Amino acid sequence: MGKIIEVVNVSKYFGGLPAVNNVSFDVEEREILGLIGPNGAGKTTLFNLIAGYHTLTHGKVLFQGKLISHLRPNKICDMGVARTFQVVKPFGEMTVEENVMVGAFNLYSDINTVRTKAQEVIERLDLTSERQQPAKSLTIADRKKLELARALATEPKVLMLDEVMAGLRPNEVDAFLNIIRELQASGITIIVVEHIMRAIMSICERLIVLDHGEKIAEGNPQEVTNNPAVIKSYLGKEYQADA
Amino acid sequence: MKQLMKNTFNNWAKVLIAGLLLAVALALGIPSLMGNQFILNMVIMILLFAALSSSWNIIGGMAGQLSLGHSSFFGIGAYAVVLMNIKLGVSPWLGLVGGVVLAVIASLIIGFPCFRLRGPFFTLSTVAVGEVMRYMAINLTGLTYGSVGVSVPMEFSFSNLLFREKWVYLIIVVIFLGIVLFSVDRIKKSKLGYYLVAIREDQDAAASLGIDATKAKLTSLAISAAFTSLGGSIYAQYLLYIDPSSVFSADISRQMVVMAVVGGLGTKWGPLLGALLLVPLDQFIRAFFGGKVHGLNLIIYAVILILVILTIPQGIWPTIESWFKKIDRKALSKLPKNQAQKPGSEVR
Repeated sequence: MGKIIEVVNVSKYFGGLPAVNNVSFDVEEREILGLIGPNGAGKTTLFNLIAGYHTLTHGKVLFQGKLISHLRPNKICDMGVARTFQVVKPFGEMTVEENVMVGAFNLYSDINTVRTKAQEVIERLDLTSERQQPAKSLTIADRKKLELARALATEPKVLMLDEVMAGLRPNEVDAFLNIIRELQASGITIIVVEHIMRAIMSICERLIVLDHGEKIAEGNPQEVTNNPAVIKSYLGKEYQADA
Repeated sequence: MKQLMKNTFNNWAKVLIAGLLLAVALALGIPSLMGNQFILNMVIMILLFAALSSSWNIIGGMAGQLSLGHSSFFGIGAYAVVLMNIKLGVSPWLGLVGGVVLAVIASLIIGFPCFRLRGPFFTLSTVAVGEVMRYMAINLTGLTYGSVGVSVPMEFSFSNLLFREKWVYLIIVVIFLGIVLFSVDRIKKSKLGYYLVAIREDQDAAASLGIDATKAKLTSLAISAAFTSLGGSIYAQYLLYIDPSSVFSADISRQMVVMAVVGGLGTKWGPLLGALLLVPLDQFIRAFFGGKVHGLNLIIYAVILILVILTIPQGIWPTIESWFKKIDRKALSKLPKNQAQKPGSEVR
């Protein structure tokens, strides 16, 4: 297994404010990497930098050894890096199936192939009964699933999930965790941003902790959650007491 | 369930289309019986504007990029066919092609800088370009004969795309409308169609799925411009006289937009419905009120528009569509439940 994504000394300044400051890390092929940290730590900004939504102030991002920073978001998706949005962005007027079809059109042009591919993804994520509903009529849990389904339909090598489980009920979270494990088993590398520690601890093999735009810790979940700096800035003393 | 809904709806659509064809056939029949040039002319204008509005709909409705300057492409088509004929002796059939090429080039020049930006830049540019084109047509007198306008040389023949009998133009516009609607249908069922709706709904999400928004918008604008130019050429060959204030007028742009908005933005049949309602309405209120108080016809037209937009903002066609769906749902609720909910029956 090699490195699939390399983030090298990446910084992003909004005006004079460093949102992400000199962050470096690698993502190994087929791993599930968790990105945690308090609100405003720069997790989503880091996602936006990797996916091409922001231009880097410093540093570079490599995907399979190729420079992808400075590419447009759609080109990065074409290369095999898909993402979801923290604030879900369904195509409201389209049905669930059509939403997913838009993703599948990335690789296929024939509409029947695209419909078949979309149906496969829809079944995989258990959205079959909502297939013909307009996306705007979905519940928040289903919208998050749709967000994932659409990204998945582009058949990515790397999937970046930005708080897909936030606001879900515990059983819905469990369903999501199973899906994510299955995706990993099918060979997809996954980066998750999440605040639900139970979810993070159960699926991630490695964690990276951001605080004020800087990487403050990296390692396996046990190491990281026992790290005093992480407890101080993010988890809080109670977490240590619970564990 | 979906299957059933679709079938019933498609049947209704067929009834509607059949009704339309009947109306056209009547319009064909009546003038030949009574020599009613007024109605024949109105039907030609309805169908021509339906086609133009459908062309506009490809970029304005499907892609959601509001163009208020489609008269540019219309005028290019009109002037290209006439001027190439007069100045270069090129057959109008080739002139059609020339107009399309010029309109596509113009569309790329407008679209390329604008579509890389978000916000109202495209709309503002189209307004500006529309006006600039009109002034150019007025002032480049060496090329366009200025505001005097140009007449099409009256040599009636098939190769000159010029016909003494007006009903031939009816056939031409029916074919033209057919081609435009067929293309719209194909686009809606293609990658481009899905991409355009995705871009209209959320451009960031579209980009995250690998959609090159600039390219998709440019393509749809080019297609839209090409068809609009063809419409302009047909208009010129039909009216036999063009001048800057008629073919490059903001009024032409306005009509294309309004018909699509009233009929249903981004829908296949909306612009046709819009044209069916608005062209006769326009002529009617112009005939009845235009002479009495200056500008009253415009006021009445505007009031009717405002009423439509206030009551059915999504347009007439989507409203009818939702009625039919309600009827279908009622019909469905009478079916035994297990039959209506069998998932396998949904697969198309």
